[in-house]
Amino acid sequence: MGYSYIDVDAMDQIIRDMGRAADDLSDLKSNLNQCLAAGGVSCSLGAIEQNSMWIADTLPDLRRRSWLAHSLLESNPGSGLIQQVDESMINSSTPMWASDEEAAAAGLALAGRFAIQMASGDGSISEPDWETLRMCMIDPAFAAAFFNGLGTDKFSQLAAGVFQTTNIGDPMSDPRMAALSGVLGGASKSGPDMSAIIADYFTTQMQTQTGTWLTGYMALMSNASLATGCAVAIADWTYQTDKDVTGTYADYQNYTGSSNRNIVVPAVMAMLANNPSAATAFFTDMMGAVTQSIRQDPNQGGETISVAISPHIAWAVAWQGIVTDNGDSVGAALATAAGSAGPGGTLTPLQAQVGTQVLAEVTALRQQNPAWTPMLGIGNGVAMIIAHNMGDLLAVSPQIAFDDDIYSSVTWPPGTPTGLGHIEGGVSHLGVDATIFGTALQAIGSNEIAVNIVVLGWSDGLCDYLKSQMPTAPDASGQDPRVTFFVQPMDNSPALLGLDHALQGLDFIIDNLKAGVPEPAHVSSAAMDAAGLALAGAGFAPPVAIPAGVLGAGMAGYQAVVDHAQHVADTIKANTDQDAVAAIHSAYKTYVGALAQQGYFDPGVIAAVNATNTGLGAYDPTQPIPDGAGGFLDPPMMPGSPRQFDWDASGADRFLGELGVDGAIVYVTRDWPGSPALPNLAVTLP
Amino acid sequence: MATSDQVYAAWAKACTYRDDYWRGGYSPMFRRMKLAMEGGAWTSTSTPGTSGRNPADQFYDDLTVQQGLLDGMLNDVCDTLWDQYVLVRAREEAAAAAAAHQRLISQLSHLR
Repeated sequence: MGYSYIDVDAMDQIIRDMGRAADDLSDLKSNLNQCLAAGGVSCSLGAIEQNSMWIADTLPDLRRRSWLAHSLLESNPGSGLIQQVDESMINSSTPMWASDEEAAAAGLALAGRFAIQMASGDGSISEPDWETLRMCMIDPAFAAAFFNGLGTDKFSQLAAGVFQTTNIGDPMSDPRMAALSGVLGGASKSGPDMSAIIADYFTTQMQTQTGTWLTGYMALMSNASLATGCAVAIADWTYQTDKDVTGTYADYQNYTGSSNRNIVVPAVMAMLANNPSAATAFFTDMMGAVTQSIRQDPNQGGETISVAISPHIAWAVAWQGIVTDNGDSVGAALATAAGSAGPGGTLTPLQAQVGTQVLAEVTALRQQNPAWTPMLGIGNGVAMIIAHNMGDLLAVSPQIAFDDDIYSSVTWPPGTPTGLGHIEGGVSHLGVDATIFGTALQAIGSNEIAVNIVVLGWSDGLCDYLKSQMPTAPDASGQDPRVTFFVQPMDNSPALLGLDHALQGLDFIIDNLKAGVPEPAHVSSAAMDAAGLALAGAGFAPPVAIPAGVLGAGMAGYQAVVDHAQHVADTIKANTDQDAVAAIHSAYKTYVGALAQQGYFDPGVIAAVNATNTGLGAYDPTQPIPDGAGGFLDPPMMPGSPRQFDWDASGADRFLGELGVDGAIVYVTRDWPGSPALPNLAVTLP
Repeated sequence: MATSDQVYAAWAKACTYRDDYWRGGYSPMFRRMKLAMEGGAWTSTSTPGTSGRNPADQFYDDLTVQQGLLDGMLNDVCDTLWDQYVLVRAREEAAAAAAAHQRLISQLSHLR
């Protein structure tokens, strides 16, 4: 038998120290970040995260041990030192009580202590009693007895008191909120009757509360780890209530105030995201299914198909563009419901059903009204579904065409590969966190040759992903693993749609040239000029990325560049409004300006640009960038260059740091055939 | 880009945070917690039938690891800022020297 020896006073001091440390760490991180920003450098503060996570993981266990030690001491008063406690008991995650009856008696007793304190003095509860509640709430019998013992009115009074004195912007940082949330979650698991009572308790709050109070109750609900039946009942009530008045989605008149729309629905979605089985159950309810017609991938026939979709999914996807969290909560709930098979994993049929229906619904909405695109904030949720489950989803539902806008706006030539390009386009179009996008690419094993990433406005995730992807040495074939950055500061604007189209076009250019017949390796200024002018003529000038290997591809390839660039330009002209063009243009000017400020352009680079692209013209770094300027630049990734950036995370940090940009468009090109060096752009930077 | 004076100020501030931390912050807390553990605040034996270290020793080991992580990170932050200061300072000095050189040449040409 194992034993524990606990000095309760010393243990309590450790617990207090750890609690204080958690607060100190938060301040320290903020202070160090300010220093690093002021110094213009970056340095990982991951140790603080790890410390914080460790404390968060460890502290509850220490509290539980301390509480048990105190309890044992109460029955065996002595020196304050617990000796020879059965270790299997103290380490066990099994209930602290021998029976539900014992647990219920303890819950009832604690409720009595709470009630007495609430009725006396200022009504505040002693910290040891809060501590006891925090430790015992996970036991369903205890939690149910506590809730019932206190009664709903007193429980609400207790909650209201906490709401009044907590930071409602971050309510769950208050351990009292965690205790209340835990009681409700624990109680919901004690049986069907209590599950219904807790569901009713929350829906009553949704109907009667507003403002801070409603926010507080919704925080309790989101974090309550409710029983599946309870969570589904609450979600279903919300859906029915939302839908009843006019029959249209997103009508929130049944809630007590219009501001409730932005509190209730995200909270319900967050609750589902914390309850995977409830999320799957809710989103696979096909009662009153919605039928959506979707145009297929033209590469697979282009016919229109009809897909039955759960009304709950349709409701959630409709909601995501309206609530103020940009759809994050909806995306998280849907991704949770769709499960996470992971590489080599297998989805359950219901999870696959959710995944395919979400993708179908998003596709259908985009086809119905492209103006929805900027509102499709569930992109991250969609990307999660893609990242985790693409193989399964394609097997289940190969007819789903992801990103119809790309198909409809660019005439893809016969033989354009489906799969990666389309997923990539879909993901970038939907607005996806780059880290998740990276995961998606990894999941489908696509990064071995060329990864073209077009991500607009999510640079942090993008950089993290790039860092994880950057090779540290030449690959097995001895080829120099080239990583090429094109960075552009810009906001997350709908205006980027047009640019995205163009970059999709460039994607094709690169593929086309890679497959082209080798020709004499020389650069045709005229052809490149035409390509640059075609893009510039469209009213904007993206940083056109022509990889080094492509420069040697020859005239046939460059003609394709010209033709396709012209096509992209025409498409953009036809589809992009002038505000969008202006926004892109402005962003590009900022980009080039940032490069110039950093002394990026030296005569060698300028000569290279002049030689190949008149879009940028005779660039003078001391002068403002002329309107319509464009060009391509090879970044300082040249081996041997004095400003060479290493092929690793520090290189990425330095490059992005020197540019000082917030957002990025990044092209990563690796292992281009026949490009061990960059003969046409072999310039040495200062 | 920050000037060398700005980088230096950032470095000095980071060092202050680090030193404060070592003197009165989390680091002493770690030490205190470890001392408490060494003094017998909590000791335990492994639960029969389970593998791995006993929970108390594991907690003590974790304390050591977490303390090392934080200490190392604080040093890294200060070192990074110092390296940056040296770099920026060198650039500024090189630029100043080049300018002085130009001025000298210009003056010499006038003399000629």
